[in-house]
Amino acid sequence: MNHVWRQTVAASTAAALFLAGCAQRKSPPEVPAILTNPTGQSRAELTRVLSEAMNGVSVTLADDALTGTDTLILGPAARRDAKEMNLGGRETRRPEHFRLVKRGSQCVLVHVETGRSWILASATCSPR
Amino acid sequence: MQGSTLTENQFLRSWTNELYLWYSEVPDQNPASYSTPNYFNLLKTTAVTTSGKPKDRFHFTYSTAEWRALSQSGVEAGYGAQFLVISSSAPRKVVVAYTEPGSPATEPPANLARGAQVLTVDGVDLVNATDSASIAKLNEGLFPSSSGASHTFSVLDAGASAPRTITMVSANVTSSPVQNVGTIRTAAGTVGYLLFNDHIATAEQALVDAFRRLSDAKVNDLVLDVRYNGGGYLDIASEVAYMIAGPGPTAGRTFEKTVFSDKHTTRDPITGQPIVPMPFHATAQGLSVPEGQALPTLNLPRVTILTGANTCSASEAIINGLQGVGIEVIQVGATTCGKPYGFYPQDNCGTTYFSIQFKGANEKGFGDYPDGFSPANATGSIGVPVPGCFVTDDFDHALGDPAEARLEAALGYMVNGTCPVVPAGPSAVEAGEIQTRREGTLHRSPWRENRILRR
Repeated sequence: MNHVWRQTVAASTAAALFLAGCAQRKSPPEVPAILTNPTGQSRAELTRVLSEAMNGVSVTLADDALTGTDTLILGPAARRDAKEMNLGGRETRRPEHFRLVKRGSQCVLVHVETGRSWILASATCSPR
Repeated sequence: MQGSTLTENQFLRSWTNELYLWYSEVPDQNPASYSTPNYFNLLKTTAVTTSGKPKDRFHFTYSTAEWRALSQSGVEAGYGAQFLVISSSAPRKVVVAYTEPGSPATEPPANLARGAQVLTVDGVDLVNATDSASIAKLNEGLFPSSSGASHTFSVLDAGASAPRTITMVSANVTSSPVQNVGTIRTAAGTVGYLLFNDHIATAEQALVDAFRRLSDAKVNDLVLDVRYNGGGYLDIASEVAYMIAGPGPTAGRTFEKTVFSDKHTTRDPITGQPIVPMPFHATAQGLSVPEGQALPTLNLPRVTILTGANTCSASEAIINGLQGVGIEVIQVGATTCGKPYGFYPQDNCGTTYFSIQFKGANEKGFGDYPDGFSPANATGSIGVPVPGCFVTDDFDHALGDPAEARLEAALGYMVNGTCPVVPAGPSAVEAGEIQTRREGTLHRSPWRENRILRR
């Protein structure tokens, strides 16, 4: 699991290079991107896509998510028990990483750990 | 699919018997005789610690939907002021422990800073109110569960003689888990300081940056301030310990080993994998720094750690892990929370159950600190003693200010090996209890309803 992030990026890159070499029509290049002029609609779409990517769980984002960096990290939300003890004390699970890329004119969100991707139809973005 | 109460209870009984760390200390009750919540509450040890606390203080349930919720690393609804509830019932006291830069709390006109005391919320007297409606208003205002909530506060800033009124609108605030990194020149040399508040994923990058900066500054001592750090990713705790000690004392040695009950001595009973000790990570683990990147080190033979009752779990693991490989740890502040334990949450029928399944032990095999770690001169209810000084929290100074009581004591101890005099009370035990009470409880989560401030 520790190696997923790096390996997936490497595999994606290799796959992209392979496909680029074989396809009759080249895919638009992917470049790291940030969101520009986010709106309520585009933020809602981003939240919805992330929730779907994480099997429907509730997701909380900052209003400026993906506006200053192409990377978004999701982790367990802060929690306490009924006596207000911190429950997140010894976390051994891994966070989830997403990257925003611009593919042609499309803003695409990529789940780094799995390589799955989603087009953000409501978003505008520019190369980072 | 919802099972019957009996089948759910039977599941919990079997689950506990198989996985609970102290399964042999659980009285076997008839699962047909209880509701599921009541039955689960019985499925734990009734033993107490040396100090008289329940041995198991971490046995609880949570809504599965809430437990599975995710947030952008460090993002939480609020104002960016971490409120410390020193007294939750009247006469109450709530102060700002620290703030997040660029948040509603720190932007004009609020300009909140550490030490500010909250006196009223939306016109309700925070100190003295006792009726339910008022208390609900206090909780709603102090701890909003979503962004966009506007509330008005009367606050008394540290050192001010008169309160002022501010209005803040809650937002999804991104926390800065590492703050106030700097160096202090002392008679003992150049001392590094860093405030480390949360073991979240983004802390990995912030810590690497901080330790690199301190390494470049060639510090020969370090004060690590984790007084408000309740834990998080254990990988980050291991990285911090490595960056303090360097490769010499840590290479090939255990930061923390997971110890299950005597039924499971070689394999993790949940994953089925062999139990492999967590090493001191010499490279980043890919949380927010590319995996495999070498970590900077200070190569220090000792570290001073500032602690309090909110220092918990992964933060305590730093102390224990370093002590396990012979690094001198000096503790300044108050007794830590005492949580060397962990669990794999278990979902069942919409409820997630938490029951202690393992403890973390260091290179020497030590992991028994259910009463926490205490500075050696602490009085009252104390944990495992660590060389250092008992010092109460000081809300009159900023964190990282060399005049702040705990940091000042740490710097003094480095130079001359002595502690400030602990204020005399009616008795040593009472003094210790008073000091412990003054620690307060830190609240970060939005899921609180009306249970933080009480009547």
